Amino acid sequence: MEFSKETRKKFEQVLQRYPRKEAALLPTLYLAQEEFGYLSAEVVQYVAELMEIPAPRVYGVATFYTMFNKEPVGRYHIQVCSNVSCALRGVEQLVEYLKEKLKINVGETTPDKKFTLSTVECLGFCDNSPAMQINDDYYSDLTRDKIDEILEKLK
Amino acid sequence: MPKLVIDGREISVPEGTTILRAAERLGIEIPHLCYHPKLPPVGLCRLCLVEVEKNPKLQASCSTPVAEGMVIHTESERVLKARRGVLEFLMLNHPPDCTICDKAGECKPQEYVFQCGIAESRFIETKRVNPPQDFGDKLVFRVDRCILCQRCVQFCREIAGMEELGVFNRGGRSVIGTFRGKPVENKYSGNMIDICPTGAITSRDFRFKSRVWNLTMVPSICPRCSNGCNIFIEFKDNKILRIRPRDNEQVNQCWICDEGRFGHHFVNSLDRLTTPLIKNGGKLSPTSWEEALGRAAEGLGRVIANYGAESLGGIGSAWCTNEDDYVFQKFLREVVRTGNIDLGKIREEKDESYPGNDFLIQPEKAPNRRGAEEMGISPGEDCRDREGMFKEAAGGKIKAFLIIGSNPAKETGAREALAKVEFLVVQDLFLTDTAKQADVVLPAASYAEKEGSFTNFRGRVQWLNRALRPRGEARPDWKIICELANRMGGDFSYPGAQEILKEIAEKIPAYREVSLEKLRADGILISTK
Repeated sequence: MEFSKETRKKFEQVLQRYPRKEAALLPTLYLAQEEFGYLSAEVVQYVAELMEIPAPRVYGVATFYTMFNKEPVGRYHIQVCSNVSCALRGVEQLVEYLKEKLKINVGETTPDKKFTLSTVECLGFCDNSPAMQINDDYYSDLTRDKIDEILEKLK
Repeated sequence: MPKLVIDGREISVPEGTTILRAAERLGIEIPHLCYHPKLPPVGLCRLCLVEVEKNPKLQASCSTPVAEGMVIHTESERVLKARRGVLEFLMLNHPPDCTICDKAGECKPQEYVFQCGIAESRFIETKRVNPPQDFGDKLVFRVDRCILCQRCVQFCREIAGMEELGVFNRGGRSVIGTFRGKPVENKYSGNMIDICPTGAITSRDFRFKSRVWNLTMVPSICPRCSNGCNIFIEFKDNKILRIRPRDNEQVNQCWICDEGRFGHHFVNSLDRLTTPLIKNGGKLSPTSWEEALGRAAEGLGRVIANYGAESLGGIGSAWCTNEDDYVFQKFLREVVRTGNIDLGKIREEKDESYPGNDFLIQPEKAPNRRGAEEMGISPGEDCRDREGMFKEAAGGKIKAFLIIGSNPAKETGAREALAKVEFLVVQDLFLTDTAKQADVVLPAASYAEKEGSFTNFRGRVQWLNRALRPRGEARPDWKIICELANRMGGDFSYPGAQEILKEIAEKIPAYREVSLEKLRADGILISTK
């Protein structure tokens, strides 16, 4: 297990931005997640060695932040906001709809590894709630029809 | 030096002192769980909150430094209310299993909950339940009892120098753990049992053996290496159940290594010698002290009469106390009149590849090499050292040995040499290979069963108190030697080890400052001139 040449380059750049190597841990874990899909124990071990930080400390950081995936996720990671504004605008029913549509529970991945469904804390779209995030893109003012439309476009 | 007022009492303390430490100086104990004097303050548990006047919020006293003119209250209404609240939160997931918890009786939350008089919990939800885990083969981790103070995590990082534990997940799901279940392997891991304020980390060796309040504690010195760590021997029914560190800033602070903590089982071993043995028709069989000592005195006396005093050799021990070794060499020099005296071989071990901070363990695996040598366990002028003695025994010149607390039969050449001598007397805890070859075997008391002193590798002399009755009929080595000496024309009438210590202080210049009182405190560093 190793960073690709390209990621390695990004990693070197990240290191330049911080006075101490340890300070670059979060961005490095992001790079690792991008590269390997999720932060498996092996990935955590690799990052720990790369950054010369004891593995239990790296694992502590990786598990503290919910944005790091500790399990494999599908090609599209659907993260639906579960906080107040979205809840008031009926996000719970939309989550139920997604569960029915994808035939999985929250926290699960479809058998074809295409979709993973999660609920997350506030995405900062209270003014256009309900909202969700799929990989790096945000979708707001959600309705059933809009969800159908969005998922249809994802290959 | 800032001047401040705590609970109506004025005090000046050096700049940078925390409120908690300043209060300590006034004899005020502010309840705390995560703070430990040997670890950096982390301010995690929030139990040590105090009121600082003109400050809107309560402050964590473990991590707030004092300032000029501070007025602090540690027992005000606000503080007590906050303390009760914090404790109630800390106990949310803590099981009420004090009835089977090893920590009961020395558990911090138990004490504080008692002090605060919290009788009921308002928590009606289901407690978080996790199965116990092993932290290596020595520690058992009960996740449910953990209050996440992180003392153990800090200990691994700051003291043991191997960051083997971490805090995983967050908020209500946080747990302490090892990465991928990797066993905790640092050589000082047992200290986490002591510093864990709850029963989350317990000792696999000690757990469920006894309620701690039924143990008797006796201050002693660890015999596992030459560092001389201060310990408490904790026992019940004449059996050691656990060893714990005893504070001595000069030697081991408040720590001991795992070898010292868990390596006490030899004392309680069923293989210990319990009676004297004498060889009859090539076979060792139990006998009385009277007969064994008589046989030993007669056998050694015969060799001296037939071949002269120089035909006798003595091997002293780095496992024995100064008092044992002093009497041993005095017997050889003054009664037998031989200078063929040397020390049994000491195992040396240095783990060069150890990745952690090996801050206590010395390579010399015996407690009293330095003391034994200073007591005179070394060859006299023109006399044989250990190898010389075995060579001469093989050549037929040395005809008898008196060996205490060592097992030279393991050394090459020594076994053959010992087989050749006419008469062999061995004092030991066990029937070693050397003892098996002896004509008389005398059962000796272990370090836990006698008084005396050890001198550590730095020259600090420290006192061992007797914790246990000797196993079976075993006796302290010095006492056995006295009996032997008196049967061979000597007059060794010491009532106890303390009187021998007095004579050592008179006779051995480096030990002139030594007194029982000093040894019982922090010990005394002998002059090295």
